[in-house]
Amino acid sequence: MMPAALSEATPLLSVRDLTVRFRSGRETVTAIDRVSFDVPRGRVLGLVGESGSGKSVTALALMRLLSPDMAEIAGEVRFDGRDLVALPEGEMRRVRGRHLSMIFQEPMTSLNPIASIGNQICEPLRLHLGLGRKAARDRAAELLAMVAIPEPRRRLDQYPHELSGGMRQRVVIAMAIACEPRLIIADEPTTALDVTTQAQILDLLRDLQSRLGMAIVMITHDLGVVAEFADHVQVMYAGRGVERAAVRDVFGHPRHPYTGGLLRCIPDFDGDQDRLVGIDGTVPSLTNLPPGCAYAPRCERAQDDCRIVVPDLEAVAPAHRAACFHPLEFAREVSP
Amino acid sequence: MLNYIARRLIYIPLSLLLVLCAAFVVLRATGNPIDIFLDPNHTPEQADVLTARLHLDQPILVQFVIYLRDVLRGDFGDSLQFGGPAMPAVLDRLGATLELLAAALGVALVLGIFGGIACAVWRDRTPDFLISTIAIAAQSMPSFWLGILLIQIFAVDLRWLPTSGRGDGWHLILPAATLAAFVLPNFVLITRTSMLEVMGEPFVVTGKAKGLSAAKLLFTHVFPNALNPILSFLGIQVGRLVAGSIVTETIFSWPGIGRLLIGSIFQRDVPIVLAGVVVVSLFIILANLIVDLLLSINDPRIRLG
Repeated sequence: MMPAALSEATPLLSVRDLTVRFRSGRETVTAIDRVSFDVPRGRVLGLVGESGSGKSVTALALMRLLSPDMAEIAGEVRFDGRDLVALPEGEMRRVRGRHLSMIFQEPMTSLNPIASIGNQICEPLRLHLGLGRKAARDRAAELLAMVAIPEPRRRLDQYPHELSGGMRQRVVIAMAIACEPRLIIADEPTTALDVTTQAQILDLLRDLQSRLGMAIVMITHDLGVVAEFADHVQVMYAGRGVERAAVRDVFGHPRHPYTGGLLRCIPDFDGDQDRLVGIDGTVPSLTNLPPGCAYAPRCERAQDDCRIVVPDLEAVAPAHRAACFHPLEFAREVSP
Repeated sequence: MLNYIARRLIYIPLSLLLVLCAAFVVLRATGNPIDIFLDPNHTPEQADVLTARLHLDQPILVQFVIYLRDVLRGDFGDSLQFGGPAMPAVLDRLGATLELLAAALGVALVLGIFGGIACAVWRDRTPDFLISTIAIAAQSMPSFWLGILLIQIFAVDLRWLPTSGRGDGWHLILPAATLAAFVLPNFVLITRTSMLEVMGEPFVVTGKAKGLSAAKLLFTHVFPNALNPILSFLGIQVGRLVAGSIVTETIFSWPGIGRLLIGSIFQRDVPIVLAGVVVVSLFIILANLIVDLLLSINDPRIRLG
């Protein structure tokens, strides 16, 4: 671990040029291409994008959960001073679930159906903290209470099929926070839940985040979740980061036309809007990306240069980056 | 849990009743018992006496009830070959058959499961290719042929093992290997398929994200989940194994129920056949009950259903 003085200054997680290529047969597909972002200690980064934009692959790559047989990871993932990409698997195992843990999208399938809730929560406690059977069980009950599950003692002996979707997601969260990690990667943690449960789970996550001082990478396609939850946003499109800034900047003055388009898609129920706005066209296939900016075919501001050269994610304002040759003007306000 | 066992127990008499019905029909269909029990030169008086003793003058339904009553009392009639009551003669052979079945099943389960796990872990690589190929080759090999081949190699040519009969542990090796080979490939293949299916489940990624090692993940999360299809399959295989034991016991002159049954069928020793069928059926039913219990212990979702 790093000396305290240094660790205050550096971000907890610093991702530089993270690239993931999948091999399938002879072809390789670049699922994420030179993605960079920072997550300061105790802060929340929102990773936003459509399906296929590389959000989940980014999450799995950070945790090194992609099979090395299929995926090739390049770049640097500096977490608490160590580069996770270069870490031997044995050491990576001691990071996973201990300092860096993950909440999955599907609470129905992300729990082992034939292991009791208690055993599944005790696992990381016994593995990483070396707790005995009894101590781990006590701690597991405390964790269930922390995630607001009623009658935690009784729940320990129950099985996933005896709990509702929202309850299961609470169990998944309890498992993720068991060892009080410094960073949690939440991969669309509320997508599979109904709307009221979504709100409860988000409230719970925010509460835990402030109580435990964890940093969170919140992966979502829901801009509302980001607006409420995140400090910083990274917008992804076709495996590349296209805009990165503080939440108020991205929502107040989006600079990348894609971000602007996404924000316009949010229905405005107060105004007199009578049609839902969308972005014309579809996300290009990763196996067949256009030569220049991946968004150019759908972009109303695209010019010839956009179709030839891939724009880098460059500063367009202090602490605001966008990968666009012809960004939206700063003054332009898009009311979410 | 007790409730579940009780519910399962209700099925035993029902299954057994069906077996007895089938046996009764077959017994009556194979010819007049008088011709079977008496020698061809019997007098009409002898025939009448036997007809009365066997209640053959009664309506068929009454005969069936009398047959059920006798069977429930454990009275299957006297063996034509041995003279004494049929059931004890069958139970005498039970030990030998159970020994053979246990040895074969043990070998098939252990090797099958470990082989299947190895295939799944090294999927599409050399170990998988080797084991799967051997399994498929073994599956296509008839067990009477394999048995004779093993006798030729290990008993006749190499003289390492006895050719037949039951005695010390050495006698058990060849018949057990033959019978195990009959079901082992299926265990390899079903374990492989089942493991691969579970390995793709999201909760396996969850386990890895907790920091579990590959081996721990494999044996604490993947294998218990893969066990259900393997156990269900085991229930089905017990029946096949018993059928296979008839062939194996005959090849190796193993003094078990299988060989006794085959011999008795040729001798038209109806009481022995009947007693043997009941014992074998009961064995298969009990084996399936045990499998169901194991399933419900392994998977909490089954206890409710």
